[in-house]
Amino acid sequence: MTADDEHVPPSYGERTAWTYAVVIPVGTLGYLAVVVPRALTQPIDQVAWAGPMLWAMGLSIVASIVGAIVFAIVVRDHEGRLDVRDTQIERYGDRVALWFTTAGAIVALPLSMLEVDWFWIGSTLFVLAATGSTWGAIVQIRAHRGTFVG
Amino acid sequence: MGRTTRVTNTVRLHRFTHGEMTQAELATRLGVTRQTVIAIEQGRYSPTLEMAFQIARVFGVPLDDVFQYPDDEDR
Repeated sequence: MTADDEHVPPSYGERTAWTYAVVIPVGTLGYLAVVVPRALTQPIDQVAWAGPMLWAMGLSIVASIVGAIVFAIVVRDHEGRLDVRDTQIERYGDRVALWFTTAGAIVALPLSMLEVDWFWIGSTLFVLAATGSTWGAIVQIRAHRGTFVG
Repeated sequence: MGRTTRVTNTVRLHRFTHGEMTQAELATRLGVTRQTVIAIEQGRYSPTLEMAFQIARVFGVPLDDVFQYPDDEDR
């Protein structure tokens, strides 16, 4: 029998997961690197956080697109669609991410009730959603490279 | 190889008894990626019931010629 399953490049779904697993935490750390020093040196209600957050989101989207293109060139595989297994794995990752997004909403509600500064509410939602998306991407990579039973 | 699914299969064997069909050819006929065919052959992914039927149809054999679900005592 031939060993034709050797040297197979990662699928489009796996490449996307790898890209998210790198880009999202980098974008989040970039946001924190900007706003945490401000929060430590300024009154919280004067910390400009919305701009850095929007920049982090925008740059993450651009980096994901560029990363996907570069990844496809590097592995010489320009397949750009998800098959049934990719879709199942993607949904599995989304379910994991949803736990963190839900946790963010659960934390944000009492913060709102306590009328804490919007900085804390926005940052909590952002960081927990980013953590969920990163963890979701990691479990997708594990599913792609290991065993996935659906 | 690490953990495998409980469903076992003889997809690789059937490929070779069907004119040494490549993984890429089988993937094209099933409308999936080659990575998915590899994952099925290595027991790392249990295909959907629909895909399992499609695979059996490609080889022209009954479903349980390709996929097996061993009893507990067989494991």
